[in-house]
Amino acid sequence: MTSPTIDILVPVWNNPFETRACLAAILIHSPAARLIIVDNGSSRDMELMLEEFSEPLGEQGLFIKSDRNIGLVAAINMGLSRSDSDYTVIVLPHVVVQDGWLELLVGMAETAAAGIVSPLFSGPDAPNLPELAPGCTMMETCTVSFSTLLLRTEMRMVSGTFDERLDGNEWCLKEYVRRVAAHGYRTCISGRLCLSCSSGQQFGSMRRRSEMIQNSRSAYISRWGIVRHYCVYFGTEAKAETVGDTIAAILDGARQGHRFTLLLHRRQYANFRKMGWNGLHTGIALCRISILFPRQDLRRKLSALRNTSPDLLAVRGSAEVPFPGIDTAISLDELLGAIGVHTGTIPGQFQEALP
Amino acid sequence: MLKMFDYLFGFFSNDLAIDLGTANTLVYLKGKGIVVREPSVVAVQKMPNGQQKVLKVGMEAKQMLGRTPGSITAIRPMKDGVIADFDITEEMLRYFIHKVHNRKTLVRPRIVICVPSGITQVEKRAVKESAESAGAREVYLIEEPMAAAIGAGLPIIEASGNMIVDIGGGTTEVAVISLAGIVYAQSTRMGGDKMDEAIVQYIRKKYNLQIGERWAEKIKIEIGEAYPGPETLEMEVKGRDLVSGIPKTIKVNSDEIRDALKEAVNAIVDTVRICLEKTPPELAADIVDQGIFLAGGGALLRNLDLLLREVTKVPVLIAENPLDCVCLGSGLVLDELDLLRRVAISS
Repeated sequence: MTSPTIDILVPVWNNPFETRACLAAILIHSPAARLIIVDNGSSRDMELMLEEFSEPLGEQGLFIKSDRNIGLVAAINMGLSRSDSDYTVIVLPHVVVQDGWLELLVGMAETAAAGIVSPLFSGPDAPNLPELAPGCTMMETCTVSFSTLLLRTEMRMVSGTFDERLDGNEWCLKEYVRRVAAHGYRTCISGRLCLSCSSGQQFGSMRRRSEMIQNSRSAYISRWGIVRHYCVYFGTEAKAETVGDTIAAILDGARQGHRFTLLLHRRQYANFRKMGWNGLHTGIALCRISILFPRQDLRRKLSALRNTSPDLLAVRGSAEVPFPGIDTAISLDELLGAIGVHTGTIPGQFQEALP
Repeated sequence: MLKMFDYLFGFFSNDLAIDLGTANTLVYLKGKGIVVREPSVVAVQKMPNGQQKVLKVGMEAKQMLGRTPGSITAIRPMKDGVIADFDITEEMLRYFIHKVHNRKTLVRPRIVICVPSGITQVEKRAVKESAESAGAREVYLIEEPMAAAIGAGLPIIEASGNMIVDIGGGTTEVAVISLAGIVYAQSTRMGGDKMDEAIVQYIRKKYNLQIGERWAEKIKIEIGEAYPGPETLEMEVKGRDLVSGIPKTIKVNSDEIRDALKEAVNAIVDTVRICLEKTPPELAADIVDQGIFLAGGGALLRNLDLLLREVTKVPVLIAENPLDCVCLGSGLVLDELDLLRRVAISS
């Protein structure tokens, strides 16, 4: 089997010191990949530096120049349009890659059959990505960052490129992840790779940014529907072996961007963890109810969740079991109807990648 | 030991901010405002041993321009916004520092000096060393657009994009400022001096009349315009006929001067346009909301704001005191040392 071909795409706008460090690290640690540099309307000095950098690369380098700054997402799309390898890895100039980074990212993508893979980041201003469950080397997620992102080309061909009308950050990525999920591709976060990252550039006034985020959120909702946080209670008697279908449906919901908190009694919690369900998706959290005064603890936990997510919906995990203290809790069928998924099984291919 | 003396002398000195411009030098004295506003001209006499002796500085020296005997020359030590003559600049700075303090001893002030945004490390060092040799105990350099933006009262500390166009005597600086830093800057060595030169050339070519730089500046101020206004202005110009060699008076109008200034004005407009194009869309959107601010003497060129608005489709506003913006801005940071350290550039 031949090894996959890879393009590394770096959109650049000034910041010569940071960019030089980033490009140098890429050249040292990923010699086999082709480097695509997109100059997004940099100054003349920077442009000359990039030309000097890419010239000796020959076929291993591609320098694309935009005379005006077209924005980050448009610059990424411009680079993606010229990428024809099996994988494209977007790296922003504030990230410094390290030895073996590319092999790890591609390895993860191949193992999990994922369409998008993101590493973790370290540094004081690193992107805020969800934490992985203890012991997990990889989890599915809906939250990634442009800082470093691997995209499978075959997936791009069917899903298209990033939506340039959205905010260029959270909602643009959420929308893309949702779009690729609709085509059956997963988005994963790899715990094996942690790249150092300085603060990225954020431009524009707070008012304009929040306006943009609001508009992007509305556009996302009109396209994909509202994203909710659900809290599921299975009762004391439910066993892990009997709720596999429900978990598969919940995983499907998490892939759509919904968040789930499963309130579990002590034994259930241990069994769910044993099944590896704590590492299915960063949108699914297992929460253990105390053995002492479980009802009070459940109420306390629910109220804490409501404080962080006011629109939280309580769900009865089983038709026979009520949600203690919550009369308005919806049934599992109502939940599945709301998120538009049907019960099924966890795909075997992905189950192999679980911890 | 030297540090201790510096500290002691610091008590007897007031902090200064200097806008070391190609055409004019302005000095801001902490607590008093702008106290010196004089042309950046030094009259020097060449001694028989080859050394140069400074005779006059500032306004008195400017009045000697073109009227000096052979051994005396009036020099402009700054060219295109940077130091062209290191020794003369040092003398000029020394003169201004002592003039402000009204004495020549025990003067070791902290000085903030404005420099063009595109200058090299060598040029920065030259400015710093000149000021140190002239008696400064601490020198901070601030980029002119940053000082102009502070002087114009723009919210430079906020995350929003602010665009300032500072049209000085030697250079035009266009910068986008956000979070107390210059996000993007574009500089062109085009300014008021080049406009004066263009007027001299135009009148020479069209009327065979030789006029001096001071006349050209007067024409620019009185009837110069960048974009046609509601009425055509006229003025009389005196010079020497190049054919007959005798003095002659002609009449020129604002349409002709607009034509003469076309190239210089277009260079400024192009710089602004390129800067807008190369600014990230998020910041450009803020600029569309807040407008482009004009500062520097060139901002007073009639209808330049209208032309820029026409070309960029962005609101254009002239700062309250365009001539003093840079000096006022650098003076304002003397009162806020934290801000001074944030906006000062390393040399």
